[in-house]
Amino acid sequence: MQSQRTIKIFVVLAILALAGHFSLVLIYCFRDFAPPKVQHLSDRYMVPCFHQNWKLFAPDLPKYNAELEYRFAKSSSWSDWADVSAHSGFDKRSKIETVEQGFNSSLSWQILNNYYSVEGRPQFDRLVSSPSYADALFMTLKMHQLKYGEKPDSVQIRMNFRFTPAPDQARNFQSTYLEFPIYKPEDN
Amino acid sequence: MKGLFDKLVHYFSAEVNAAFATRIFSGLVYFWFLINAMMLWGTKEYLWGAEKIFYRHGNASDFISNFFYQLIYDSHRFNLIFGLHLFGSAVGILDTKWNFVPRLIAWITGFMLYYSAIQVFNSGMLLMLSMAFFASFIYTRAQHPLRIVISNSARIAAITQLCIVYIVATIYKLSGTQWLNGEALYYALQIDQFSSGFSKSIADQMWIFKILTYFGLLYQLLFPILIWIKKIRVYWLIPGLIFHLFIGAFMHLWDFALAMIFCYALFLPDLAKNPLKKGHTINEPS
Repeated sequence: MQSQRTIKIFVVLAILALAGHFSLVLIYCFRDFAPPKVQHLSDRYMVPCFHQNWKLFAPDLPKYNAELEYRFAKSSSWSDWADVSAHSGFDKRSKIETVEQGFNSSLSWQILNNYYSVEGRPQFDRLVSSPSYADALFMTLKMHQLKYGEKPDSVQIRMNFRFTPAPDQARNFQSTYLEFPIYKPEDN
Repeated sequence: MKGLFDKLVHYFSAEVNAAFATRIFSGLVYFWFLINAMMLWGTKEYLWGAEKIFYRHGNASDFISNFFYQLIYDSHRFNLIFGLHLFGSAVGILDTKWNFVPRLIAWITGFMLYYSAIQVFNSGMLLMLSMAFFASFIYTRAQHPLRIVISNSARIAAITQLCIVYIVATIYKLSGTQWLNGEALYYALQIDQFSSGFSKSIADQMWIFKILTYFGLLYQLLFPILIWIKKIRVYWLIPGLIFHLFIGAFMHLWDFALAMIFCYALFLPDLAKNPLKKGHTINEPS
């Protein structure tokens, strides 16, 4: 039989462990508001074993629907634009579409923060050097190869944004596209 | 003060509290991993295997991170890790003395699968991974006082974790404008991934979206408070059940919805002690 003293020490240790763990969990959940040193401490503890994110559609949802589309060139003629996952037979409820939407979110963030123009000309240098662009392009090329069994001569991706009208406005959905520069796989 | 401390020690070490509910909860956590693995089965080669669609970025600098991230760089071990995950999840459903071994395997391999295909998962996977760590330490038939303390601590940790999910989600929602304006659900259901023909057809019925948005926000706000009131606990879970079933059915987020619903098992009444369920008895060890 365990001595009462040992049990008491064990209970105290358990309570301290719980308090310490959940303090670091809360700091990690609100890490943007924590001082850098505290942030670093919580990151060291939480990643990779206890990583979590509970924003759950917060603070606000995007006011647009985004789709990743692409076209490819083979023997010097361009295909029509097509949705990357739908073109390979994956529907809106598929896990591949979920992956595509994940890439769309990060690419949308890049467009919002790193797309700029100089003397009226759009600049893509920051966008195409971002990991989000690399992810989207890699997925596009992989899906294409899986469907056709070969690399295209050139490929171009674009983001198709369909903006959601405000609730009190007429239900006119406006769309816009952002076409990225053409990419030639054999050059890289 | 000493009396309070003694009560605390007794609470932690006398017996495994809410043994029935805790047993169901821990089994459901690993059952969720099995369901999730089945849902991913058709696309697993695209996510982790030879046909993977993820661009592999650079590696991390420390051993633990690289251990958890190894599938990001090396897909050759995918079948082994996926198989171990299935094994750990299937065996982890059982409540046995040595269940912490398969349960920890399910947790570790679950994180490995998560990190190498983050985009395919939502917060349901993160919630179940958090719960899987705590559930690893649960053994509801424990007799040894120290094992009882560990089991009770793990149960308290799981409940606290669930409350933190609601608290954090509510604070972030209150910091935006759409939830306070009652427009959040309207905008969510305009995104193709979360919408259906039906939800788009009622897009001009803004009052429906406002009611549902405020209901969701209020429920998340009150959950961490009202769940501690024993008398209303079971009834309080019913609107939550409906709320999460709605998310599953209308927003097609079944993995997240089931993760939340399975966590509600923590608050199930003990059938062995509930007079309303006369005739149902749970065989507790003597």
